[in-house]
Amino acid sequence: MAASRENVVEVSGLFKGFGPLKVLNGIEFFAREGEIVGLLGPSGSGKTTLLNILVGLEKPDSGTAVVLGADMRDAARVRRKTGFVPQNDLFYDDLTTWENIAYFGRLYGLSSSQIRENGAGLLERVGLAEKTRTRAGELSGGQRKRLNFILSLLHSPRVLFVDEPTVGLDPVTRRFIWKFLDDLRKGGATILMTTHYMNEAEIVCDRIAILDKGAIVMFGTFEELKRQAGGKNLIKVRTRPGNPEVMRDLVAIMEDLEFVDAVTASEGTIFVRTSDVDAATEYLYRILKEGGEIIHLMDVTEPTLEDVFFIATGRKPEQIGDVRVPA
Amino acid sequence: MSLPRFVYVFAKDMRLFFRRRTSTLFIVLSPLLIILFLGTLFGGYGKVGGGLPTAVCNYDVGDAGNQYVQLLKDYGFFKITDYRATFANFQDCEKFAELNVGKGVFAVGLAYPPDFTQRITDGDSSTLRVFIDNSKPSVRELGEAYIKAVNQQVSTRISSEFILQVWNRLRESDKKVVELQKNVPLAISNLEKLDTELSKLRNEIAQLDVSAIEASKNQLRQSINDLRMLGNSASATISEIESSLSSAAAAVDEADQKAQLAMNSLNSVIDSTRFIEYYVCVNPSATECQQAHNAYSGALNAGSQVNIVMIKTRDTKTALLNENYAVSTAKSRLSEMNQKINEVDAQLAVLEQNLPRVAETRQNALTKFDESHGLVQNILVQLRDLQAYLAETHEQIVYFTSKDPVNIVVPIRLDWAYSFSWTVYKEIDFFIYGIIAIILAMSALLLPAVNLIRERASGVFMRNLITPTGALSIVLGKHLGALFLIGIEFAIVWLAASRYLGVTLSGPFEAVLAAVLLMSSAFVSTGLVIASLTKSENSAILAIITITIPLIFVSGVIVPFEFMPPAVQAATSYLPSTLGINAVKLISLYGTTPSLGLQSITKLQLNAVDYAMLFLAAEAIALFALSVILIEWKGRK
Ligand SMILES: Nc1ncnc2c1ncn2[C@@H]1O[C@H](COP(=O)(O)OP(=O)(O)OP(=O)(O)O)[C@@H](O)[C@H]1O
Ligand SMILES: [Mg+2]
Repeated sequence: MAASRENVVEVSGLFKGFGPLKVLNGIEFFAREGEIVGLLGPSGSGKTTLLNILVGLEKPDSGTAVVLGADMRDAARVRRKTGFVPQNDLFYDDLTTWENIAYFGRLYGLSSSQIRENGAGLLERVGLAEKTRTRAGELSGGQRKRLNFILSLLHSPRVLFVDEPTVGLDPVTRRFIWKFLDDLRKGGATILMTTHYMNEAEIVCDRIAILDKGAIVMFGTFEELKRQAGGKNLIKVRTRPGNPEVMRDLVAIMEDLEFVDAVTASEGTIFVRTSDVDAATEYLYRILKEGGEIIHLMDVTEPTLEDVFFIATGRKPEQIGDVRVPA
Repeated sequence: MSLPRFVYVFAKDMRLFFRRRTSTLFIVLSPLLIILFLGTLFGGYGKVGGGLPTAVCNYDVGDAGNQYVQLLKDYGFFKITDYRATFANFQDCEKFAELNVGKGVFAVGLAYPPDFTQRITDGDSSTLRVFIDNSKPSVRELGEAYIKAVNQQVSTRISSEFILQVWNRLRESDKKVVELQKNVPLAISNLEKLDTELSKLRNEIAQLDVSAIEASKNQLRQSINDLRMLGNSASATISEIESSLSSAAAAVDEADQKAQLAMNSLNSVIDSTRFIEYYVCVNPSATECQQAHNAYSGALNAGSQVNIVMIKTRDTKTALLNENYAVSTAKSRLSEMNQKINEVDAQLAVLEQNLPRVAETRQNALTKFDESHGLVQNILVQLRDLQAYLAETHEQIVYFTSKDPVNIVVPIRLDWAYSFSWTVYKEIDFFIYGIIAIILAMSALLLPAVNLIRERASGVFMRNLITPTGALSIVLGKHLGALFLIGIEFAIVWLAASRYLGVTLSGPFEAVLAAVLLMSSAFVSTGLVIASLTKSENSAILAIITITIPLIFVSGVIVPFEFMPPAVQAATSYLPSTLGINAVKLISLYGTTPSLGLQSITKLQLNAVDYAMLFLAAEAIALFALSVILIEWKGRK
């Protein structure tokens, strides 16, 4: 991965474990100034851990994480310019919305006038202006999410780390947050967000890093990811469920074919990457005809992000517990 | 305007704390309830009225015991009853005092043995029996403290007096010794001089024997007389010899004259014969010639005979003359001798004249000798005096130095005897400090620990940590917040204790507050450290309970600190609670004022409170640093 001067976030060779559990195994990726990079990965793949390292909450075992030119082992240097929106809504429930804003504003070193100005502006933007004097503990889930968001934006950070911004939110709030993130990007902020929603990554992110088993298995724009996954040389085969032995045989046979580059199989779906789409289709069609019991449907198509994810990780979004929401 | 960040942390924590009405209520109520509870339980009679009931058995024959008792009275802390008159002997009184202290009738009992003054002034040290009711720790504390103070005073007075006396004696002796030291060589040289003088005189006198001289003189005179007589007889003999000589000479002269005459006649005969012969003897052969010749020869012969007689006469005359000369020589010698004898006689006369003066001289010498002897005797007396003095001095020094200085410096030893009577157990002003310490320590440990654990569990603490505000400011803010709450608690406890329990304050309140805050600070940090080391609120609370329960015991509330095993004492004496309780006790109970200032630190003139405060401060700082380090470490491990 070529390092660039515009790289605001740059991670290389990053390892992190908790005792015997190896969570991150040599992470490599970067984020350029003014773009939104999405970390897409199944639950427990180490997204939050990676973000914690990037905001200096955790120390990596080895490797470097550089933000705005500063190694995050020395996070204090850039804390004034970075923000972190945690996965959970973290603030003092017994303080009012405004008291929370004033307190964290002070911790970011803002003057009272800056707090007033930025705080009021952000409250207005996220639509919490009326809840200024409400005890934070009394806010609704969506309102909490928004407060959680703006508490990290009071100091107008250049780089924002966002952990699962829309988990468990209603579609309206979800879209509001997407818009909000987009606005921030337009304002010049670089955003690194984690998500396990395919559509969210696809819609919001300029660049996507697929995280699996502690490593970035794919990294690039959506187009680049599709190309990496096989692009137009990809045949998607849907099989009938309930025949695992037959499936295994089929995969083994196909892997031996000379025009087949790679086979990714899971229950119900087989992706065949081939150098010769026609030969492959013909071969598969023959199987379809002869043993119609197995192959249910066959399609030569551009992969979706879900397909890419499946090819990259061998796992389907259903298997990582995604709840699909209509876009 | 921006204040230091920790101020905002502090303000936030306080806002959160006081927003909850129950926590606000309890920060006030909990200390109040504890104090009220204790007050109801333990009486709250306040200070001991009229002093500690004290039994005194002063059997001391001397004055030290009285001085001692007087000093105790002067303190006004002891209500003294003297039982000397009640009991016939010391042992009975002592037993009575011990028994009644044990029953709680008296708080303190003191027994002065009869030889109390005697022994301490002799430098042998005496033991004062002290009975103390140990069931009332404050009574014991205060009683001990006062008795120690009085003992110190009396001991110092006695020991310094004794030592002064010793010094004075030594100084006097020293003066005399120095004087004597100067006199001794002088005396010795005098003695030596006198000695030579005396020996000379003695020689002289030995040589002078007047009676012998007298005898010699008489002998001499006898000899002289004998000589005179001899001389006289000699000169008579010589005169006889002279006269016989001169008569002999006359006879010789006569003979000579006759011989001369005969010679002359003979010569004419010889001439005539010779002439005859000469003429006759022209014929020599003629008879006449013969005859003539014969005649001539006869004449010649006769002539020669006469001549021989004449020669002999003349020889005799010469001999006589010689004899005469010898006699006259002898005569002159004799007269010479006589003269000499006369001279000797004259000398003898002089000698005779001088003899009485010799006796006088001898007498003089004897007198001188007697005088000298007197002088020598005098000096000897002086020397003996010196010897005696030196011996005495030596004896004194040996006596004084044979005393153990410890007995001189600590002439009165206290023999503490503790009793335990529960009957009048109402002394809260002692253990109130332990109670205060426990209340504050519990709050100091729990409040910040729970606060931190809660914030950490909810995750909001993480939000604090990722801001540019460092862990130091965040911890400092939390720390000050906790201290503020503890300050409120302390104010309430102190107010309640002083109002309701009659706890008094002898030293400055600021000092008490400083000690309390230092101690609390150490516990706040300990709480934060525990909160950082434990994984959950439950384990933190259990850990804090594990710490506080032994703390209650070692604070001396239940078991007096002094009663604990030495190992426990050693292990706990530097705990913040022990140090804090001690400092507060010293300040409020005994009025010890911390002298902490640059001067006292640099000169190392630190009192017990200073030490306690310094240790507390050091511990508070160290624990604070540890809490910051641990919190930062846990935030980013
Ligand atoms: N402090 C920790 N101690 C031990 N294990 C941890 C710790 N933090 C995370 N882990 C483990 O590391 C792995 C990755 O966790 P992480 O929170 O980074 O996953 P994630 O990708 O953010 O998951 P999700 O999408 O569910 O938020 C998980 O198996 C988790 O149990
Ligand atoms: Mg996560």
